[in-house]
Formats: sequence, C-alpha cells, structure tokens
Amino acid sequence: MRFSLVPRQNEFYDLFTRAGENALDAARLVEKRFNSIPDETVEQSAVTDLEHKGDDITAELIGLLNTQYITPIDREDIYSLAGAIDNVVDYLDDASELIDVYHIESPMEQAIEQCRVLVGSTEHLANALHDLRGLRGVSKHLVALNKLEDEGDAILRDAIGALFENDKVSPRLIIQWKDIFEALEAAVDSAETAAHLIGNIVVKNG
Amino acid sequence: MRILVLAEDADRLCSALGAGGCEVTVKNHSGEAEHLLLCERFDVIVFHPRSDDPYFLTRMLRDYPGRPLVAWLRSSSSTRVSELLDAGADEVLDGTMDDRELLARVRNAARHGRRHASQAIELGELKIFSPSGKASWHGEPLPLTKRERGVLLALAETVGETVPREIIYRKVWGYSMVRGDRSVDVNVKRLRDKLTQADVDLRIRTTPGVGYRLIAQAAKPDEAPVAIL
Repeated sequence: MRFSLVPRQNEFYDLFTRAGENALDAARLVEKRFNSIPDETVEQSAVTDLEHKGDDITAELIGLLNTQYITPIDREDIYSLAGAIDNVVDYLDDASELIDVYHIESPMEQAIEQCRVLVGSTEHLANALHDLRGLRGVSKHLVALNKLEDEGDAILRDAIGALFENDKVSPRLIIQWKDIFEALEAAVDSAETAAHLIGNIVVKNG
Repeated sequence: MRILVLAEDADRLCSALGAGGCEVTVKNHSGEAEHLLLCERFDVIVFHPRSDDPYFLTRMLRDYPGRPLVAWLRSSSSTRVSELLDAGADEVLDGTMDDRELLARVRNAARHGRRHASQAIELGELKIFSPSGKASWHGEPLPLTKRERGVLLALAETVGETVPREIIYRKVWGYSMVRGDRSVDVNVKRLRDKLTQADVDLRIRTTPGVGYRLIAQAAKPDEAPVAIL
C-alpha cells in the first residue's frame, strides 16, 4: 500500500454523499417492505443488495483513507463516520430480515411509524453528508435529525408498552416484534451517532 | 371429551366427570379460565355462577358461540334454574344429582354443542361451515386461507352487526390483540378482494375505529340480511 502525496479530497466527500444516498435508499426500501407485509412487493434480497453496496462504499472510504497522507478531515472522524453510516444500513437490513425470519404475517402501526422516522432521519443524514464539503447548511439537518431521534425513542417506548399492555398477548408475537422494534430503533440511533460525528467535524473544521 | 370447570368446591362433580372418562381442567378464577380458553379448546365449559362476575355467561356466549355452557349449582331452585337457562346456559347441574346423572347431562350438552357447531351459516348462496370457516359460493369452494376463513366466520356469526377488531382477533388468533396490530385489517382486505373476485354479493363494511360488519351488497348499510342457522 502506497501513500499518495497528491490530495484526493473530493473523493472523500463523494463517497460520503454516496453512503448517505445509499442509507436513504435502504430506509425507503425497508419502509416499503414493512408497508407491504404480507405481500412480497419488496424482497429482502433487494435490501441486502443495498447493505452490500454500503459495505463496498465503506471499504472504498477506508481504502482511500489508508492511501492518503493528507485528508480533508481528521482520519479518526472519517473512520468513525463511515462506520456509523454503515451501521444504519446494517440495522435496517437486520430489521427487514426479521420479517422473513419470524414469518411476520401483518405489520404493526408502530413499526410503520418507526420506518417513517427512519426515512426522515436518513434524508437529513444524506443532505448533511452532501453539504459536508462546504460545511454550510449542515446544522439544520443535524437539528432535524436529533428531533426525529427523540420521536423515534417515543415511538419505541409506546411500541414496547403496547406489547405488554395485556397479559393475554401471544408470547411469540412479543418476541418477534420486540426484536424488530429494537432493530429499527438501533438504525435511528446509528443515524443520530452519525449526526453527532458530523457535528464534531463541522465544529473542528468550520 | 375435554371439560373446563370454573368452580370452587366442585370435587364431586370433577370426580364424576373424571370417572366417566372426561379430561377435566379446573380453574378457580374466570380470568384464568378465559385465558386458557384462548389457548386451548374444550368441548364443554362448566361454571359456577358467581355474584361477583355476573357477566361471565354473557361473555362466553359472545366469545364462544356454540360452545356448550353448563351451570353448576350446589343447591338449586326452579327460579335460579330458569334464570340460567333463559340467559343462555345449555344445562344446569346441581349437587342433588347423582354421578351418573351429572355425567349424562354434561354428555348431552356436548352432543347438543357438536350439532350446533357443525351447522352451516347460509347467507343466500354463500355457505360458511362452522367451526372450520370453510366457505362456498354457489357450491364452489372459496380459496380462503385459515385466517381469512376465521375472519369470515367471525363476521358471519353476527351478520349485519359490527364486530370489533379485538373480538375478531381473539376468535381467529386466540390471543388478545396488541394495539397497532394490523392483522385483522390485512386479512379483511384480502378477504374483500377474494369475495369481489368470486362475485359474492356480500360486502365487508368498515365501522371506523371499531371493526367490521358483513352485509348483503344490495342492502343499505343498516339493513342486515337474515342468517339461517
């Protein structure tokens, strides 16, 4: 592996933009998949393909990081941000996969609400990553993303509460949906982690 | 024959039924009994009417139509017996009956229930068989899934009346419905599509925020077609 002394700064920003767009595509696909249960309008393989695409972008980012002597933002920030965006797509893939694993017959309104929050969060994340190059207009997306994360927390609490409201609920249903709600919330949390890292980058480089 | 006994101090009744080859499960609280009914099927429900739960019989008639309901009294009077029979009990037993009579009356109630349960609900040319929910239109079987059959049967049992989502869920899935669960809505949608595809002249109408009701297509929303049981 060789270090390059010629900076390829734009490539970092392009890769982050692509990673953000990929996370948004994945969130939209997962939302569509949850909305269409039990029909298989969107197959899990389509979500997994996006997860693989996300892995490839992360690998490209790390690869580029390893070959660059000068980077536009701190090395550790690039590394952490790439990982956080990758986690968003990983958790989305996990939640979506559980539909098949648990043979889910019908959707839950709370999960559909979580998907709405996820699409909103990844939309703001993608926009923030797109604007990272100029560092302008990033903050408004981070604020919006934090608000959505709070909304996501409230939906999760309500969703888990609903599962335990009645002691005559199927234990199988509790196990299935608790896992799915938590996986969807983990994706929202990862988007918030990415937002915090972007916030730090803006403070350091702004 | 599986019998659920909801009564305290019913040792003699239980031993009489057990000696007669019945599998008897005893519960002391109606909550426990109702939970068990969600998970398991019993041929007869024997209960001791309690003043602190006067609606147990009404709930059983609503939630488990066609299931034989037998009241157990330690001592009876003709007023009490007639009250229970009028309220919907299939049989009334009391402590003065000997073991053979107790067993014979429970068996009779079970036979009556089986006859009732195996009847079909006919709504014009739509025939729905209870308890399976298998349905036919003009003699042709409708290709319904197990869940769709259950939903159709739940709606057909009280045709024209709104059946709350929670009741449909409890009857078809056997558990309480979780707030936000769309299982009933999803299956009603699929059932609607299949009824339309087969040109069945019955429609499932939504009562917003409550549940669904089955009505004849030509009838005005408030007019219920007559069900021949």
